[in-house]
Amino acid sequence: MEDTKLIAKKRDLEGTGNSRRIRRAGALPGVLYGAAKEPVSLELNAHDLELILHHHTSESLIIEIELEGEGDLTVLVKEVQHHPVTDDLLHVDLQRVVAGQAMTMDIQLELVGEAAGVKAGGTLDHVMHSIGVECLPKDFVEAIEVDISDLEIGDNLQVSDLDLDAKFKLLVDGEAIVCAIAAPKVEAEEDEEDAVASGEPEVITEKPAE
Amino acid sequence: MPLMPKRVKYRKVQRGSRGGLAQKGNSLAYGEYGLQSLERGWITAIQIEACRVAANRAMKRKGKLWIRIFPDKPITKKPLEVRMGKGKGAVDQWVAVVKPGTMLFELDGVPETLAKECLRLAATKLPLRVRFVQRHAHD
Repeated sequence: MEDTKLIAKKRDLEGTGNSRRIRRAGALPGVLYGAAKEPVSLELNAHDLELILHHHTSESLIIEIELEGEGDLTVLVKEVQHHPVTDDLLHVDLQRVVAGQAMTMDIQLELVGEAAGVKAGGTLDHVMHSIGVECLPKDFVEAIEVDISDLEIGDNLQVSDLDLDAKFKLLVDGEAIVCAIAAPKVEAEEDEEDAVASGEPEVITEKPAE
Repeated sequence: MPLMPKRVKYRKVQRGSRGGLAQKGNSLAYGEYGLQSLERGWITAIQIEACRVAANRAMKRKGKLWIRIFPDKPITKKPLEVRMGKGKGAVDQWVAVVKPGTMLFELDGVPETLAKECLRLAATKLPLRVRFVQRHAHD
């Protein structure tokens, strides 16, 4: 689905109370920064942004906005804040995209295929769900597919094992684990876990008995 | 054996406050599925253990369960038919303070239907309203 262009308005009202009033009116407070320009506080339609986010797996996206006074802009959705209980949108951070200038962004890692170790009874432990990279805006992709079908029990996939294009500069340690296949659980393991916490806790501020 | 701290600074603590919403520990950090609290309250170590056992039984040794809360608050109780005074009672149980939005458990490595069933069974052991959450719910 083609994303609709978001209409953004500059706002002078800032602070908690004003932001709440803006949200009650169906808008979403946000901020636009980057490209060595002054940050601009803005408000946009919460429902339109929600629809865009709903149709993508990642919240790190490059979208088009129409800002009054500045015209059409290409921006990167840098951060989206959600309400902890209702999951409603609270605030959005947008970063100006400058063609030809590398940007830092998060790309989702999607595991593809069923690992041989999982077929043999192991458990897939997906540790890293997204990866921080630096790349040009034109090279941005929402997600990278990672084939895990060759992984056996006890194997793990590190960041350095990812077949990433040279246009992405990694910002994470190459030895970081993306996913691992753990051996099937045995009864003894659970008992061991249980034995860890038993008895009375030690009180560290207690004076020793004389 | 239910969870409790290994070392504590003070043996007994006051009741404390539990206002506000969960400002941290409110999103999925490890697994694909989770159980999120919608209410505030205390969850005892025994209740957490009951949830763990219920979910693990339903998982049938597949997948992995993470417990995102820890009962680090001691709750005291005076013996029955004892007059007031004479000091604070003995530690009776350990609880985790839960605010709306707190992610209680996370689960991964099982199909969605099984994850829902596991967490539903775990939820029946809890004194709070909870909801099932999923990482890519809007794909």
